Amino acid sequence: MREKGFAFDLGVVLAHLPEMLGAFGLSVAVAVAAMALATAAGLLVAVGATSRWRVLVALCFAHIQVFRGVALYVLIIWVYFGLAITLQVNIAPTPAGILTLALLDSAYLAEIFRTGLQKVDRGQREAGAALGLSDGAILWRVVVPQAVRSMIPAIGNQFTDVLKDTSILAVIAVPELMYTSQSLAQQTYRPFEFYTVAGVLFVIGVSVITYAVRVAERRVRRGAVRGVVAPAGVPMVTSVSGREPGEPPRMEDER
Amino acid sequence: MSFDFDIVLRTLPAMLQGLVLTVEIAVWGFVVAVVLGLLVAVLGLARYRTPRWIASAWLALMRGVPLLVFMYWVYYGLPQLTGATIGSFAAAVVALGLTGSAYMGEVFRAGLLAVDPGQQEAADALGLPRSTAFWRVVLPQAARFMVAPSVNVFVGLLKGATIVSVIGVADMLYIAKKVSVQTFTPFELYTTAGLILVVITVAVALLGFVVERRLDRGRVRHA
Amino acid sequence: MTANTPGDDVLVRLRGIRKAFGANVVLDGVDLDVRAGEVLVLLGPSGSGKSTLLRTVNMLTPPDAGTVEFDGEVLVPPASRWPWAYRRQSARLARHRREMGMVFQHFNVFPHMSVLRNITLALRSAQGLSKADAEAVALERLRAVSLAEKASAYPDSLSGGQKQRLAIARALALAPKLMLFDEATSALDPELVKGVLDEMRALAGSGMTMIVVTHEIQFAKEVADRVVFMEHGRIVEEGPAAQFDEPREQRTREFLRALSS
Ligand SMILES: Nc1ncnc2c1ncn2[C@@H]1O[C@H](COP(=O)(O)OP(=O)(O)OP(=O)(O)O)[C@@H](O)[C@H]1O
Ligand SMILES: [Mg+2]
Repeated sequence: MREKGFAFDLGVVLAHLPEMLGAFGLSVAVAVAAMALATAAGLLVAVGATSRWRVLVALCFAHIQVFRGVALYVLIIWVYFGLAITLQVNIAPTPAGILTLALLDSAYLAEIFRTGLQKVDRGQREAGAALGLSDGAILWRVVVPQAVRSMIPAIGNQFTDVLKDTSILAVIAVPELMYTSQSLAQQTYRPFEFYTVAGVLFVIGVSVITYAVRVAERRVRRGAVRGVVAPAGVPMVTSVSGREPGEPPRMEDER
Repeated sequence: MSFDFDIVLRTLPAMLQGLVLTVEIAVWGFVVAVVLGLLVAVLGLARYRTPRWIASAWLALMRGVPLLVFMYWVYYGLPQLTGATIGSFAAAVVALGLTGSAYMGEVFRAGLLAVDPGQQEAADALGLPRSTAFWRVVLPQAARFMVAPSVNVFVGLLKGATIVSVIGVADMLYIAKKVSVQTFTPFELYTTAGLILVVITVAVALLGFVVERRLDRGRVRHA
Repeated sequence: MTANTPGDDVLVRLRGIRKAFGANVVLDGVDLDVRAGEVLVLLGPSGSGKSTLLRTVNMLTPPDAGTVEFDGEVLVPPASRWPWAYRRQSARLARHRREMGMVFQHFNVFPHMSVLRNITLALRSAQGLSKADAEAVALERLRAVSLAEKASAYPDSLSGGQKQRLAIARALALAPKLMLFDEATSALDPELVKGVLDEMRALAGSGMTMIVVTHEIQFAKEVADRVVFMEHGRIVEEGPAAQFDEPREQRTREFLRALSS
């Protein structure tokens, strides 16, 4: 290895950059697809978990508990090498990967939706009812808008996790960023370069999502200030602590 | 289709040995994550801009890079740079520790911020040295807010640690794979491994629950 | 302790104190002297800046402008860019803070430590007393506020009044030259107020220099050597306790009438 030099070989990276970027595009596409499926499934599970039918509630809770307890790697190996082979179904890696990701993700999202809906003050539903709003209007006009506010950061986190988790699909040969990096590293004997680039691309992707979430959150909060409803989870600023509003408490003396 | 219990029973002892390895990696990774995470949290709450900047850069990096990429980067990439090889066990611990440091950093930060600011003020007003105020007043109270999320992080690392066979650690899944290739029983062995892992993660999560209850009860018992 | 009559030596000297939180000017140029042995009561409507002024004295809230002099030395809030200098500054401030006790509205006792440890912590880690010495001092302080039998209990098991008496004992254990009270009884159930006021009264009687923010007007009349009325971050009137009965300023009269009605 020493003969090849220690320095970062930019040339080899640049030569394969289009492939890497294309692969990252697939990673993002897989993450978005999985997230979309999981949002739909997660909503159903969340509604089921808060419904009146005991059996449905139990099933939905089981779904949430089990899939939040499973590691993606284990699940994907089980699905792809265990189940599919045994049942002799032939499914392409990419759809298999998306479905598996969505399955896991739906459990996390369901839990986010469920707790978000439940956190909205009971009084809000009662106020809606007292105003004579229909159940649907109470849910969609009163409860959901407030719940969404408190859920935005958690959903954003979930999205970053899903994007990162797409790397695990490399083990079933989905040609996303990680898989592509592995093959390029092997072809060129430059693992350091390609895994670094993969890492950097993921960091960029995750940072973009994080930033977008922060902007969305701020938008929503500003809307809330202009409007009537106080956003859930945003404590009112009080002066008892001797802090500037919005400034985090410090471990040290104030300046 | 029939489920071959025989092969499961015969492979189980070896698989459980592999499981011990996974748990060890997760535990060591968690230790690294705790140390680094505390450091990052303290830097992030510092009054100087430079340490705060370092902390946020660290968090962005460690949160952004997927665990698998980290493992490959440490195991295959770093040796190319340094010329020294690293064992797969150590590489797994390092990768888990780095990833975990971001999560633990958040846990510590949130925990420290959750402590009533009046406590720091009281310590200041008493003229306590800053280190005393941190270690004896703020941190012990923050610990209560940190237990449950720390357990979550550990469970996450444990789940992450299931992937270590990709860099050649002979863990449970590695053995399941090896045996199932020989005997063509992937469904049996992967199902077994999956169930065992789910049981373990759920058990750890429950344990965290119990510990948290205990802590709270301890406080009430003083009453 | 000094005699019960205020001496001439100034213990706290505030000059041109200003503080703004964003656009909100909370202290707008306050000058104030507190002599050793004096009991000064700060009065004023909510939001007038009483707490903030009190907190500038021990630099929990460093002023934007103006100087705080304590016992002949100017207090400097640690602000250096350099860690070692910051460390020195904050150690110096901590030393001064040990000479002023502060009692908070919400007690701020340490909930994770026994009553005894609440008091011994500063004695041991800041003043370097041995465990035995620190505990001896602490027990004596606890006895003085009738909490000796609670020494090994945790604050959760104390009433609000007991917590506040613990906070007073904790501050007094460091033998401060000055005590700052910020609405020490406002968070207490009415039947617990008297016990805390009794401690404060005894302390005032012992010649302790005190700056007291309170809405207990009767108590204030009784213990105050001097009263200061604040509004909008300024001192609008100050004078001897007798001035309670004959305020010069219209605003002060209105405020007192509102309080006593
Ligand atoms: N940390 C802070 N951040 C922002 N504003 C603050 C802060 N502390 C105090 N203020 C503001 O400063 C003003 C004065 O507050 P202060 O607490 O000094 O009043 P006060 O006279 O003690 O009132 P009260 O009788 O209600 O305790 C208020 O308008 C308050 O909102
Ligand atoms: Mg006040």
